[in-house]
Amino acid sequence: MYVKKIHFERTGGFAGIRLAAEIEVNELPDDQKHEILELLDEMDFDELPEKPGNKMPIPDEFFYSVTVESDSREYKVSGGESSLPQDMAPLLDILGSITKQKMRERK
Amino acid sequence: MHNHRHPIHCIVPPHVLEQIATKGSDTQKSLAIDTLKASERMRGQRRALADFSGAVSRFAAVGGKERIIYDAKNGSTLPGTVVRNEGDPDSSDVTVNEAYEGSGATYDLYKNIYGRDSIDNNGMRLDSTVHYKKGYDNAFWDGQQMVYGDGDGELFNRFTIAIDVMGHELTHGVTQFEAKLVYSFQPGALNESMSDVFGSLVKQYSLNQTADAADWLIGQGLLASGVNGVALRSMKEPGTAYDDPVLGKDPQPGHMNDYVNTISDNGGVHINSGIPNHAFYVVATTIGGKAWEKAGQIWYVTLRDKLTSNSNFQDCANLTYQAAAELFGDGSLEQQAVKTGWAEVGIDATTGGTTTPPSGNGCLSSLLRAIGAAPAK
Repeated sequence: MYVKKIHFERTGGFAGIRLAAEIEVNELPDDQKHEILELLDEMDFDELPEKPGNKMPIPDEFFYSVTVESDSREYKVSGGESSLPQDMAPLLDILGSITKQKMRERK
Repeated sequence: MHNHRHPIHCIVPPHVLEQIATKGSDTQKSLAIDTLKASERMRGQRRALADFSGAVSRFAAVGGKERIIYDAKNGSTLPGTVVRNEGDPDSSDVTVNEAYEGSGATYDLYKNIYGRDSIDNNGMRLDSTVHYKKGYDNAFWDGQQMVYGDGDGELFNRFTIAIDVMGHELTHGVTQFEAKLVYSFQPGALNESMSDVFGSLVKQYSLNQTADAADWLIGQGLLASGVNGVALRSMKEPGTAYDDPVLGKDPQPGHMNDYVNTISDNGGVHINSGIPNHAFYVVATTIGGKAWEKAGQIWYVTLRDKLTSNSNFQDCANLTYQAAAELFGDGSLEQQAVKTGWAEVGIDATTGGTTTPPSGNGCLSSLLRAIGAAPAK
């Protein structure tokens, strides 16, 4: 899957603080870029349902929304941390730290 | 505590017990009432067990205060390794001790002040896991236990740092067993607010502070040193807890005029909770003295007996107003304080509402009124 941009958002949590960023994949350092592309590939991100699992929300859990922008279309996956597939966790971690980095740079 | 097994337990159906409770001899009545109460508690437990499969071993109903602290050792497997049992001496790990003390202080407030024996009012063991994942920015109640992350160290410190966080998480457990407020939009914001209210009361009770002396902050010390803010939320002045170039500004409103309509954060449950939070603050400071004594009692009875899963802010205002009348008298200063508290956030508390009908019925009846098929209100 060709990946142009990734929109990442984390809301909720005990703090209720929103983290969000638009990530231009080609502007990332090579190792980060490759890690993300590999993770997306391994979990077949483009074949995941938009809302995997329909569990009741857990109080204070994080809510994630990840949108991968390809040339032709967008693939979006969102849900509470506990309802997303386990193998998404490393992707959420790396996108979360890139987002924090970008938010710090913006200030 | 002993586990009394009464001969009529488990055999007599509830509706028969209800008959005995109303029509039997005095001895029969009290026996039947006890049995009904016990089976109510059992049902509560069974329901929780059914909701969260695999939890059986963790629902040890021993009665009294029993805490276990686990260490996830930066992994994501729950509950992790036991590191401190009830009665064990201090650990060398400050996080373990904070989780232990915080859950103990929460147990004490509920038990000593409101007569509630743990989350389920049946001695449920309080399990907490610390060091969940690596640099994890959160704490949550997963339906069975509390879970605490260490924070990333740049934006957040460890989540056990503020005692009200433990009170907040455990209160999600209490709400799960009582009002069962659904976790979205206004019922969700009430769910959050109840957790902040009792979280703050745990802190005030542990410090033996009056309402005037309390800081009314949620998560004081949780924001890392570089962040411009004092806490995550302020019940005294919603919207003022932080204002930081990276994290942005505290988005909480303190009045219905500023209610935030959003689908994010389950419909703004951590945002609009500022409104009922501030109402509680005004009620508590208007009454004066120790907030857990009167204002806390009114809120506790409302959470335990009056709110239902879909209650909204208006319902909560009416029901706390009603609870205040029942506890302290119609027209009492306490009841007036409840009115003042809700008025301050733009809600008129009245005795009119008991519980609102499900929204479906409400929609139907207003539609019928609109087309003239039902009398106007």
